[in-house]
Amino acid sequence: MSKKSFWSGRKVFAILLVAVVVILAIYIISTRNTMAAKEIEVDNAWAQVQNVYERRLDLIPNLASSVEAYMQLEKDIFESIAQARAGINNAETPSDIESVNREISSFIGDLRVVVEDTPELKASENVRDLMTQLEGTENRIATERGRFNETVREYNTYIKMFPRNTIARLFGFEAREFFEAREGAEVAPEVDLSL
Amino acid sequence: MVHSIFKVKKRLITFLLLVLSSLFMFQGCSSSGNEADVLNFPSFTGYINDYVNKLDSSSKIGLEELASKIEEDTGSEIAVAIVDNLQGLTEEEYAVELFERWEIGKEKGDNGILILIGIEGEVGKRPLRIEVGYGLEGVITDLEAGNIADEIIIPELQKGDFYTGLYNAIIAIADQIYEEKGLEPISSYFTENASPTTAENESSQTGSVFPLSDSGWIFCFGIPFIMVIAGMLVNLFKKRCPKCKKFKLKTKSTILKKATYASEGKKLVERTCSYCGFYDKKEVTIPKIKKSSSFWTGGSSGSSRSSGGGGFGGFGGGSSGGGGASGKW
Repeated sequence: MSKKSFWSGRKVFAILLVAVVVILAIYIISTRNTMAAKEIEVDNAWAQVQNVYERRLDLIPNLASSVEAYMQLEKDIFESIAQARAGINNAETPSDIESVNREISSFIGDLRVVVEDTPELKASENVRDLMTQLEGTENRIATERGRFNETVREYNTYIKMFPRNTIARLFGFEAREFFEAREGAEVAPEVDLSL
Repeated sequence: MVHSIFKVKKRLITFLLLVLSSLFMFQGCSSSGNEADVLNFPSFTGYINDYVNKLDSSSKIGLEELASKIEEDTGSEIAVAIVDNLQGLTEEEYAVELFERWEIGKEKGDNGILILIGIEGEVGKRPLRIEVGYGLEGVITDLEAGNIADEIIIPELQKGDFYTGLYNAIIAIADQIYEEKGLEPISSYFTENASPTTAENESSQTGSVFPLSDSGWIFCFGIPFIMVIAGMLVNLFKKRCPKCKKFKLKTKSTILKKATYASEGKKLVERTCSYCGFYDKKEVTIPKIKKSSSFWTGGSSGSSRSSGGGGFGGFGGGSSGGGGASGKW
């Protein structure tokens, strides 16, 4: 009689143990998959940022040449932009590409300051069109960067919480970097207007 | 002695199950706080959303009908938001965020437009933006948006005539969209009063392919799973003999009197334990039969859309990427 009770007790125990293991396995697997999904979101957002960078690169030479006549004074800025753009071909690592793009952004910022301060330029329709399109590129870049940062934030938060961080470490998920704000972005650049 | 060890183990397993199920619960609770939640973005009531009463009701209805017609003919969703102030954001930031929240345009085509007007500020410094969805960036370029803003909207806003400015702007935008689709320009629909013969209706599917792709999936999955396990355990324990504690109890029910809509019924429940011979019986009342009430109220998870006239069904899930143009008025 005691033999029978011994085994029925064991059976229940075994069933429950299996249930626990199964639940644990499902939890780990689904968590890992969510991590992968969130990391893919980050990669997608990064691709979007590169897209709008490309768009700007393709756009700028066309814009500049159509307006350069009106902006002889600003030849320096246009040349700097052209040089920076050429520099993309030399850029190899993602951080190189990123710093070239930052340079271009800051030159465009210079351009906008000049136009704001020069009434004749501001009045010209061609120049206004150029500014509208440049603002469009900068706005797109800012938007996609912001969205990229959001995906990174979500992903990083997800993999850092306990007990997910152990699972993350187990499968090799690492935190990703944000886009940082440009240094000196708050200070308006000084532009020399002397002829 | 064996019995007490079994009890300990059972308690341990139950405890582990509770811990695991609480893990599932905890997962769904963790939410990342968003700074944007601190700001107050308005909710839409239709295509035309005037929060500061710059449009009288007949103007609003006229513009709403115009936007509805454009959506019917082309699928593009043109929204207007007239707000008091931009909560400290630039018009670009505010417009992008609002567009994202309202999800203007169809999800598959991203063919939405948002005209945002802020009325707070000095003359010449008040914000205006036309935000163009991803899918319409080729149709309404930044330049075209800029021209519409500068030449069509701003002069009218400065005169105080919001209706004319918005009406003409929407027509200008629609003309581009209609042309791109090979339709007659929209103005012809109004002047000739002709019934549109070749208006193509874009029927679109809303809803994403993966409805449960975020961590809510675990929550949705874990809870029913836990309930299944719990249900199995409950069934198991129903078989437990109250006398000898073994799981050998068998239950037999015999219906003595059937239950009807009007009266209750009765059944005899007999329990026998094949291990220790325990036996008991009792009469149990069966409750009255109820007319089946509809459990499913017809809503699936996700936004419900009303088709055709009547209420506004909401926007189609589209998004924008910062395209368009801003202006000051």
